[in-house]
Amino acid sequence: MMMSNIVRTTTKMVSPFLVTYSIYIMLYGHLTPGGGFQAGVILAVSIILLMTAHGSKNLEEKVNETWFKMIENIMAISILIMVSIGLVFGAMFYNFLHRGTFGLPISGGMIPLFNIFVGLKVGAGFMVIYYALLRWF
Amino acid sequence: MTADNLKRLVALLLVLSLAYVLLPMEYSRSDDMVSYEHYVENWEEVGVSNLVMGVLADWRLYDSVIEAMIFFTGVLGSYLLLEDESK
Repeated sequence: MMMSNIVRTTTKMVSPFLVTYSIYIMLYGHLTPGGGFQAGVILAVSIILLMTAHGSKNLEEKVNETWFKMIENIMAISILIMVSIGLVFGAMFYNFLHRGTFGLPISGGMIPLFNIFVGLKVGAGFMVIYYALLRWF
Repeated sequence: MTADNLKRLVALLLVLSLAYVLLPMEYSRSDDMVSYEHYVENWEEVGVSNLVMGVLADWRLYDSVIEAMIFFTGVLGSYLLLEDESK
């Protein structure tokens, strides 16, 4: 099912900006308000907008359900592994990377990495839930 | 006593003991060294300018990681629960 021409054009215009905004929130989550979860939700919304406007059947060869499941699982395992590496440096959940200069984009040790992992994981997770709801149509 | 009733009794005992421990806990800011002041005083220790993210992803990272795992379990549960059996 495809929505009207106006909706499709508007969605095409809006969704690249949503992806950019989501990446900004993901990468600057430790400097400005935001974080991984919010970035992931915006990322999922940008794809869900496109899929509802253009019809999920028409996007089957471009967007694949298996990718989202894979990203979700890989990111979950990556978070657990990254958290466990701290065991080598003293304790679990230890921030083992160099913390850098206060206020720069690359600072805070593994906090930006954690934001990126959580953002991708939450975005892919919401896409998996969306696909699960889509099975009833 | 059947197994179901035993389970209910164990759950009731768990809830009552948790309530006995957790409800009288003191969360006022009147003590001399509470966590809020610790976070603000040792802000430079984390090295990030967003203190909320510093608390969430450094001091309380275990909370955030387990929250991510809870989200993973929720996705898995809804995916299995919403399975369309007619197809």
